[in-house]
Amino acid sequence: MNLSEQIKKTAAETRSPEDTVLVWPNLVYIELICILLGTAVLLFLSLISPAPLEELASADTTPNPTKAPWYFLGLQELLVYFDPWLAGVVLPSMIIVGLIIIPYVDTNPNGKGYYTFSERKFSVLGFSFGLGLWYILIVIGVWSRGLDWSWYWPWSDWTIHMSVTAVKLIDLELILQETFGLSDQPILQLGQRYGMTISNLVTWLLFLGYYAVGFTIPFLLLRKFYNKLGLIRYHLVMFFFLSMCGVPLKMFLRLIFNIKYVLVTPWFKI
Amino acid sequence: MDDIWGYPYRLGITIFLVIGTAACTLIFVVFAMWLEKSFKDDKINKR
Repeated sequence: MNLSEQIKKTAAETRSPEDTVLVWPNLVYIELICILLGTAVLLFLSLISPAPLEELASADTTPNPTKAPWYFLGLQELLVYFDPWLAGVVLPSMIIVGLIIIPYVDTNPNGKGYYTFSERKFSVLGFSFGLGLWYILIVIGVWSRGLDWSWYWPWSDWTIHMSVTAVKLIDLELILQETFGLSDQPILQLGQRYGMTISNLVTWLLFLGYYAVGFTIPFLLLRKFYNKLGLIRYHLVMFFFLSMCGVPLKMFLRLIFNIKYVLVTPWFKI
Repeated sequence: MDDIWGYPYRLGITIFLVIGTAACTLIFVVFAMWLEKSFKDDKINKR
């Protein structure tokens, strides 16, 4: 069905007049009530949770920890797990670009003008997962990060510094060198700064392999999904979807295996 | 054996992340399902 046919298929055409209501007053009154309720809730929140200005900033007494406004704490929390370049620039940009392309890659005509989950399961689940991850990172940043950005439980003593040496992080390629006895000598010199070792090459293969496998499995098992999207849209959707899933994956590698970076180059670290 | 629940709370943070993300996702999905159920009469009948 093309767009003009969809526009023609409006409520006015499919419903009899006695089954419809007027915008004024039926809709506008509901909107007015919503505005009043919203204002009341905001007023109440500002009364119970004041946000006073603090004293003038001083370079001698910097606060510990320095926390961003709550809506940016998810990003600040990502800095624990990713390079600043990635957590502060690349990932936010990818989130914004990914949201922008949604209307262009969405081929599912269902859900226009009405709420549905059953007809858009992948979209709703994928978006909810990203949003859930975003919110849980904010929750962690607001309520679980204390002195030196260390993790504090609600029952911990928040005035005592945690031992910063308790976490020893190591790059994946060094783990490969130690575990499999791979050489740390460069096998390929790429420019003056980048001598690629075998272990570094393996990390490249693992990193690219994650995307390659992620692109291939739905292509083989969910061919209808691929056919519906087409080549370009499929790769765009899968790239952003896999990148989104890669964020918690990297976090778990850092938490469980103490892996600092999966892939290290002189220009960027992931 | 080290206390697996002690600082740096690797297991605790991981479990918190998994359960927290799953719970948030579930809330959004349940909300979407509730919206669908509650407003199903608004859906334009398909021809």
